[in-house]
Amino acid sequence: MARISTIMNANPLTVKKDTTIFEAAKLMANKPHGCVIVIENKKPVGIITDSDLVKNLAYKKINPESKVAQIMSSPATSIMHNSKLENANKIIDTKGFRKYPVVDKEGNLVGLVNENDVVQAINDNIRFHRNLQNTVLILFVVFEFFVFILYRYLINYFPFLR
Amino acid sequence: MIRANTIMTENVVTVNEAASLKEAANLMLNKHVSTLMVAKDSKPIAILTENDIVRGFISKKAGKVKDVMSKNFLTINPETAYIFIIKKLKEEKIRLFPVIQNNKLVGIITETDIVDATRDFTRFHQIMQEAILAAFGLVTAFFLFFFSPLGQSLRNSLA
Repeated sequence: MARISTIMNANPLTVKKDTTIFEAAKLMANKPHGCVIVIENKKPVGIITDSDLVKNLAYKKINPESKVAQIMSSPATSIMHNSKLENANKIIDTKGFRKYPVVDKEGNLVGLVNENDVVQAINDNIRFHRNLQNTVLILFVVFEFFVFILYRYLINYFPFLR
Repeated sequence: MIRANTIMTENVVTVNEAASLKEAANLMLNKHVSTLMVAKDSKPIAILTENDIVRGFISKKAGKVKDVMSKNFLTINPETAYIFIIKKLKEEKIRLFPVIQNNKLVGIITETDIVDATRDFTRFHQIMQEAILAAFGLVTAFFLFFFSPLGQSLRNSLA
């Protein structure tokens, strides 16, 4: 069974609580992550996405030299690194966010997972299982067919079938 | 076969390349989108994502859309297969597909559209899986009954 740790991005961008917004923006520019996780003692305390930055810098005119703690979404909903994809999907369905920090048993940050990765991985799994199940079923029906149709001939050769 | 035109968003928010980054950011917030198409005479020439705007804010001198927009994008047509889009997403990490027909922008496929479509397919696959299992189960039950002694006696009494 696939776990979150196999599909997560193990190198998330992280900042401290007292980093300035400008520094965080600098870190995120030109990176495909789309978000930066605010950590405190290795534990995720908040998350800042591209759209948070756009909203706060362009719309609300927050000073770029202020701290990230002002604009971060906190607390960030974390997903355990060993949780199953279906359980992660349930969390994603209820929360409706795109990006989630992945934490280990002690609550330390180990990665980042986004909605699309989880959904795609589940779809791949379902497809694989469906193909496997259909193959098994077809083989079983073929076997059944032979046993039932050829029963009358088989009993001539195998007396124990009588 | 699922095509691009069934999953694309048809209302694309476009922006002029001479607009300022602030205008572009306001447009994004008002229209609730994360990506703008930069268009000239309804012909797409570049894309502008939230990340591009962030990049524009940290480099002090870039104030216009045309300073930060990226002209490097992959266009598809409405007949492009869904499988092709998924393949590009997974292998080349392309997250944005403007849909072009006769040199005109007719829609856009973003990551959100792909997530929604994939969720639908997953549900469809699950239902199909259950249906196939049920059908095979009924066939098996029929075989077992038909060739069993009970079925034999029923067949004999009917004949």
